Amino acid sequence: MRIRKRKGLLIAASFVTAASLVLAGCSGGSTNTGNGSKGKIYLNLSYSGNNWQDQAANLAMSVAESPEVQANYSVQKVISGSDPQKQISDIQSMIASGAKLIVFYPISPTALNPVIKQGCDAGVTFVAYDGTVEEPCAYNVSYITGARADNPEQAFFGAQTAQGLVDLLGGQGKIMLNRGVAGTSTDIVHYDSAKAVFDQYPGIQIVTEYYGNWDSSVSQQETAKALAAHPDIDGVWSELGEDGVVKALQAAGMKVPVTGEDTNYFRKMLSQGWPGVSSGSPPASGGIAMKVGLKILADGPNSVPHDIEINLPYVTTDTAKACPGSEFVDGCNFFTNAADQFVTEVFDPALLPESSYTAAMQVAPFDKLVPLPDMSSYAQPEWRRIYTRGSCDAGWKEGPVTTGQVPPGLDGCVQA
Amino acid sequence: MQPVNVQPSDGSGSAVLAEHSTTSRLATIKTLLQPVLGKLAVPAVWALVLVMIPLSRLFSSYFPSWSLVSNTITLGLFLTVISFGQGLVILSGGIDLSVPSVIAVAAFFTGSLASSGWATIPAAICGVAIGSLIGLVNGLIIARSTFPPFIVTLAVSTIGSALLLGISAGKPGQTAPSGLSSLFDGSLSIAGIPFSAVLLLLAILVGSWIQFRTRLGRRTYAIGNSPQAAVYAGVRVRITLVMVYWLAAIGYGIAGVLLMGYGSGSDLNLGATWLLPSIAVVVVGGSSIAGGNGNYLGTVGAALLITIIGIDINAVGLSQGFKQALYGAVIFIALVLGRLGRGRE
Repeated sequence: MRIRKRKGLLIAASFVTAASLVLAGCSGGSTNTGNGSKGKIYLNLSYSGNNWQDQAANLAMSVAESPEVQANYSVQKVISGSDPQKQISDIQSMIASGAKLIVFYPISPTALNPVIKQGCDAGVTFVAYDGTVEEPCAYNVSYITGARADNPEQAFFGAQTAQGLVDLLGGQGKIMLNRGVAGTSTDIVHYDSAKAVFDQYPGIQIVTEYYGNWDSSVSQQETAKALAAHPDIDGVWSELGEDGVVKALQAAGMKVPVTGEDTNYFRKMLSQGWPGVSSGSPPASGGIAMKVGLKILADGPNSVPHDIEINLPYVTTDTAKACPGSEFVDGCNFFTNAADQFVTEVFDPALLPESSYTAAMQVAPFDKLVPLPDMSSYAQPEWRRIYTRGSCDAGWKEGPVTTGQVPPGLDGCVQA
Repeated sequence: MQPVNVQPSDGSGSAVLAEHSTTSRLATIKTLLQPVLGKLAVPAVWALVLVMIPLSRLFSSYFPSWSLVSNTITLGLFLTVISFGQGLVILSGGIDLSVPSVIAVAAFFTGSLASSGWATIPAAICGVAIGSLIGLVNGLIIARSTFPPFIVTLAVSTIGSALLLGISAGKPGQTAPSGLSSLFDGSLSIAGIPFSAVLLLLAILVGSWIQFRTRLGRRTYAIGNSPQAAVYAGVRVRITLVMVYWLAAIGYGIAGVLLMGYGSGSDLNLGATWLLPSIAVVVVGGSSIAGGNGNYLGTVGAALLITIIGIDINAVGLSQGFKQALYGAVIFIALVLGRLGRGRE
């Protein structure tokens, strides 16, 4: 009996060993053990396994593994999961190992502040992408407060998509809101700025709001539930997961305006005449943040602004356009054969022109990096600082912003 | 008439009742009624489901409606299939935390095989088979060791998810083969009845048959009641446990494939939201969390009940915090009602 039990444990142990070996084999491609003479760069993402995160990471690695970067640096990718404590300890290890640059997706805007400060003091450059951190020594590269490329006064994803929905509805109608992950700072910025627009239109009635967790499947289920109770709605405002919203509407036989983020399925439906607006978080920010970090290493800490705003994508029923191949040509903005949940905004004409569908789907090192333009035009205006740094710059104080951005009256910073 | 005589010999008689508090009177009533109520647990859950349909009027003026029923069936189907596996594991005295990873693995491989040219059905079967390996390993380790099942399933599923993350190598998204999507897009409805109703019926029939009519099902009850007694009774505990965890994972895998069809795609987080509901419905459905006692029909009723309550609460114009609190409170009430129906263990 005892021997049999030992044997059982042995079998169990060997399963675990075999699994770990396979795991090591699979992950081997994305890591490089650097040799001593090269500087160390880390890409640190939080959770993984959804399209957005993996695409942003693939683009950052495609930049970092390009021959010109590899000549001077070794790059390693670290996945920290969704626990801030784990990300803190991972960053601590990176600092201890002599990192030069850490490009990271922050889980929390505040929890990482002490470890970032500690790293800055040790001479490490930090660049956060998509999410932002309040620690002033880190660089933020985010769309969160970003404005449309065609009109820099039209800022904030929430506000611009809300305005888009109101315009599609002619200022009248019942709507539902499909929010993101409850309690996250990003969801709150999106929601508050959207609400500020909806509140200006007495004809717009929000009948229900629910959380789709920025997840297609959850959004679809929650929307199906809400539609059962509110079959008379006239439109849906959604954060990421809008492809699930559209699928739930299709299953219920309804075709009403939807505003949401950048999934391939949503763009495809827009191009086929579905009324709506596609905007939101571009995975391109991963690749752009890596280029920003490399520029800081090459040209010094003042070569780029500390607060970089990426343009807010804005694609409508009229402008959704399929790409013929795997490259972005003639302003096309989605791919006919990509997965439904593929996030299309992996390209930026000025900041990441070398990007392609292939680079976003698998790490495909760029042959030649296109140098970043003068980044000063991408600096976040001081009046939007409060959203990303938690406080206003010196000489500014919190207050409603009445000029320079629509809708007027959003919370922000005003000159003291 | 003479006053009623006190008869000290009768322990449950009026003398004792007069002396003791009302709680013991309640206990006595419960003991007397338990055999009847125990049989009522499953009908009670189903009665609640039926009551909730007209009651949903309280939540929305559009309820009750056909769309409420069809959404309950479609969304309840996933929970029904997942909780078959979880129910079987709980019946055996364990608990299974590998639900999300099996769902993700099965969906991923179904999608990736289909996109590499496989036909839908072989791709789905292979996807489920690969996902079920996690359950097989769970079962092998649990049967051969004295480690608590929840730790084993946590460890094995963590390895499984990590392997999947490595294998998917930055491409987590999969598109469902069109054959799967058509299960839910209405193109297969039979006389207005959504195809998911057919699948739900099938799940109930197969699940109940396995739990009540097969040797495996009966052995699972025996092991859950007392593994030692089961050994003495000649039950091959180890092989049964392996089968239980394997079969459970096959259930999760099928749910993963169905979920992928529903959303016509998947990513690695597809199963993330299903673990806790799967445990909740098994318990609300009247099963003992300690194992040995449970009924799949009760679990199915609870799955539909939780789904319909979710839809109702979603319809209320409350803010999300209150909605979640209400949802938690309603699950708790359902749990209490289920317990009253079953009596104390």
